[in-house]
Amino acid sequence: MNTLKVLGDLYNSMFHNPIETNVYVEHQIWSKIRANVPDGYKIPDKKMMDIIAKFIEEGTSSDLSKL
Amino acid sequence: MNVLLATYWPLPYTGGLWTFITEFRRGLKKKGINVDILSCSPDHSMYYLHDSPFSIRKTDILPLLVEKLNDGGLLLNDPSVSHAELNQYVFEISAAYFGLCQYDLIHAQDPIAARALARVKPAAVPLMTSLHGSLSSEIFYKIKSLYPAFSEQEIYKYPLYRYYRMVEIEGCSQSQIVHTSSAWLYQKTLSNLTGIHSNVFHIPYGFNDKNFAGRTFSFKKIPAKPADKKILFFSGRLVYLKGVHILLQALKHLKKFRSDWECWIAGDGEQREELEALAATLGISSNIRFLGSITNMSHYLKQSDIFIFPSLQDNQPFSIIEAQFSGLPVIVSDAAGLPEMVVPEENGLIFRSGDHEDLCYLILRLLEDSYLLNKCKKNAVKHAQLQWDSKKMINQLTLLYSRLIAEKELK
Repeated sequence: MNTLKVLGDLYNSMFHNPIETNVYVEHQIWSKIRANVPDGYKIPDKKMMDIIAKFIEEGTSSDLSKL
Repeated sequence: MNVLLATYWPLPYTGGLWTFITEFRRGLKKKGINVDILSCSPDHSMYYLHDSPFSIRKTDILPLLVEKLNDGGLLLNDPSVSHAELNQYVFEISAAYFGLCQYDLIHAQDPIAARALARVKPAAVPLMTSLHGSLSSEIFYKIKSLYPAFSEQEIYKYPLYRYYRMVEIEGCSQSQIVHTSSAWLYQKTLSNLTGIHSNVFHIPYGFNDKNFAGRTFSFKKIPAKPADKKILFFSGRLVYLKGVHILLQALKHLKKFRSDWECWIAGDGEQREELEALAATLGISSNIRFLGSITNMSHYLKQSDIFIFPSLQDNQPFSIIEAQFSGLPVIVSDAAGLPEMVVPEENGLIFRSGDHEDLCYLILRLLEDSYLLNKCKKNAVKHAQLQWDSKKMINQLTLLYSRLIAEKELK
């Protein structure tokens, strides 16, 4: 199957605070993903990130690479 | 009806989740329900829909996410939490790729999958979640094994522990129905969700012993049972949580009283070398056989006399259910959901979790009291048939499906 690679920035609508990148991705895959996610879907999950940020501030860093 | 059974974890796998899904899928198909299974592949390289050509490699997703999130400064200054969160996004994007609007109902099999699927599924498709264990408790013991000096309070404040606890709560609170197999996990889930959620149901696992007896995947040679010895059997992952170190300590004591036994330890894991070294240090290596991963469990159980499960925390292990269907008395710890599985003095015994002297005493009791041993053996199958009724589980779970579908149609 012929694959078409496109710049990942084409899918910036799925990200909060998108920054420019040089990463190329499969158009067929990412277009399907973008079409299938609900309206307003964004990465990362802001609600969870705010909670996590708070308790990381309060605790020690956990680098458990075996997990 | 089209149902998606979905998990973040790899399948097939020798653990209980695969046993549950295999049995449950068989029951659903008999009822005319179409079932797809979404999981990670056993080699962790991709997500895929079982028995279909559809898959997506993690490498098709990860590079863009890493670039966008790391360079965008959105991931947090905690490697383990960042890694876990990143992998959740890979899972949810993979699920979206397969298209979730084709399903009438999505049934997540863990809270990570539940949280992820809630973010990417169409709003109209109901989400139900079965919890097969306590993720945060598993992480608690994982941290404890890596940092034994940590107090409980220190672990409760540890970011990774708090992260997985949040994932558990979020995954459950986003599900219209939450199912647990043990009363212990039911209560734990209710207390986690106080004020958020009331639709939590306790339905014990079901098991089809006919499928189990015929399930032989390999012809790995089974060790010969020494004629003059009883076989004590353990099966499970060789990780700290499973408490095999406590079993070995108990067996050191046991050897002082009797030597007419062998202990067969089936399973593999990160603690295997450590446990083999511990057995040598305790002077009991000649009594222990580390079997590694086995697939023809029923053959091993038939050779055994007592099944021992010393876990520090467990929900409702299928290895115990399998042992009971094989007619074995079971000794379990009193941790988490385990004591619900045994009626003391009737089909087994229960020891104080972590107390190797208590465990030794109970093994001795069964070895020395042939009346009790035979009574527990006799009752094991009867109890198993009553307690772990496969048809009952499938009927009750599908009733919950009907309820969700009816609610969906009302909307």
